[in-house]
Amino acid sequence: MADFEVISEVTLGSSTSQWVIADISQDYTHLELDLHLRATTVNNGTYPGGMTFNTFTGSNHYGYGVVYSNNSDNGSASDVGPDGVNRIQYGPRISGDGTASDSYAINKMFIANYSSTAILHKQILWQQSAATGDSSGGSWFMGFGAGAKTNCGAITQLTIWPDWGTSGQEIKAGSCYTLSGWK
Amino acid sequence: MSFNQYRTNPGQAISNFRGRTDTPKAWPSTAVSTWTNGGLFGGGGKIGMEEIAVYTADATNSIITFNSIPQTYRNLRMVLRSARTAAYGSAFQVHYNNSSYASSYNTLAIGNGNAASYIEGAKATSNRSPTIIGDTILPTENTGYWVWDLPNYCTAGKKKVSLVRIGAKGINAGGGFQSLFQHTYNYTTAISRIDITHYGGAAASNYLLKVPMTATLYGIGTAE
Repeated sequence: MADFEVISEVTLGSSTSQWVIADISQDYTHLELDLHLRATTVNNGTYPGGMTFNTFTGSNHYGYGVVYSNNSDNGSASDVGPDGVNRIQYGPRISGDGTASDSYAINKMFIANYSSTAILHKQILWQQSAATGDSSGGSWFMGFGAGAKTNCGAITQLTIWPDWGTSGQEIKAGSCYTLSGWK
Repeated sequence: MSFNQYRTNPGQAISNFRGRTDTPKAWPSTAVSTWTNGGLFGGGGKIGMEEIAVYTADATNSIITFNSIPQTYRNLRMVLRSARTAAYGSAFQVHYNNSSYASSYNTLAIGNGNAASYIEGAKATSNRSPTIIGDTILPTENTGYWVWDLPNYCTAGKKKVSLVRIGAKGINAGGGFQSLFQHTYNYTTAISRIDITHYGGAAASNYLLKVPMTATLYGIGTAE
C-alpha cells in the first residue's frame, strides 16, 4: 500500500446545511482534506464554517487559533481554548454565492493521528483562501490556523456547516472535497 | 494517447514507466475502455499521489514547462525545491495553457519580507501578471520552496484556483520571503500546460535556473 492514498472524492449533489463525511477508513495515521466550498448565500463575501470531529456533543472540547488577512483588515489573529468552544470555529472558509462565478474557497487541512485510540488530543492544521483578488473589489480572505479537540478517540466522522449565525445557510451543490490518508 | 488500445504491450521494463501516463503500455490484449483507475493491475489499490513529470535544473534555461498534462487526475500538486537563479533574485510567474494575458489571472497573498514581521494582504489588479510575490528564487542560500496545489484542474464548471505555500528563508539574512498565495485563472478551461517564467527585467542569463533545483508535478486522485 502506498504511503499516500485518496480515500474518497465527493462533489456535493444537493445543497445542504450540514455536510457529513462519515465512515472514514481507519487504515491510515493522518488525514489530508482538500475542501472546496461555496455557500448558497447570495453575497459578495466569505464566511466561516464550523467543523466537528465525530458527532456533535455540545461540549467545549475544542480550541483554535487563526491568523488571517482580508479585504478590510491587513492582518489579524484570534484564538480560543483549549476547551473553549464546542467546535473548530473559523475552520473551513466558504465563499458566498455572490463572489466570482465558478470559484470556490480552498481549504487545505491536515488532521494528525486521527485514527489513534491512544493519542486523545487530536490536532488539525489548515491554510485557506477565498474569493478572487480582482480589481473590482469584493471580499477576500486568506489565512492559516490550527485547532484541537481534547479527549477525542479515533475520528470516524467530520461534519462541516455554515457557521456565521444566520439561519438557513447551506453549503452549495458543486462544492467538493478530496479526502486522503497518510500512512 | 495515440496507441492501438488492443496492442499495448511494449518491449520495455515496467519499472521505467511513469505513473498512469505510461500505465497503458503495460496492459496487453484488453480494451482501454474496460480499464478502471486503480484496478488496472488487478490489485484494486487506491489512487494516491503520482509523479507526472520532473524538471531538473541544469543552468541552461530560465523557463520550466509542463506540457501535455494528463487529464486523468482530480488535483495537481507542483513542488519546487532548492529553487535558485544564476545571478539575480526574481519573482516568478505562472501561466496556464500557454496564455500569458495578465487580465486572465488574479492573485492574493499574505506574507512577510526579510526585515519586517508582519502580515499584509495584497489584492492584485487585473493588469498584473500572476506573480509569486517576493524574491522566492535567490542567488544566495535562500533557495525557494513552493508547494502549489491546483485542485479540480480538469473539472468542468470550476475556475482554476490554486493555493500555494512559498518559503525562501535561508541562512542569509539579506533576503527571503514567506507567503500564502492564491492564484486564480479566470476560466474553467482544463489545464494541460503550465509555464513558470521569471519576472525580472534583466537579461535572461541572470535567471538561469541552477542545480540542484527541481520542480515536480504530481497528480492526485481521479478525474471527475
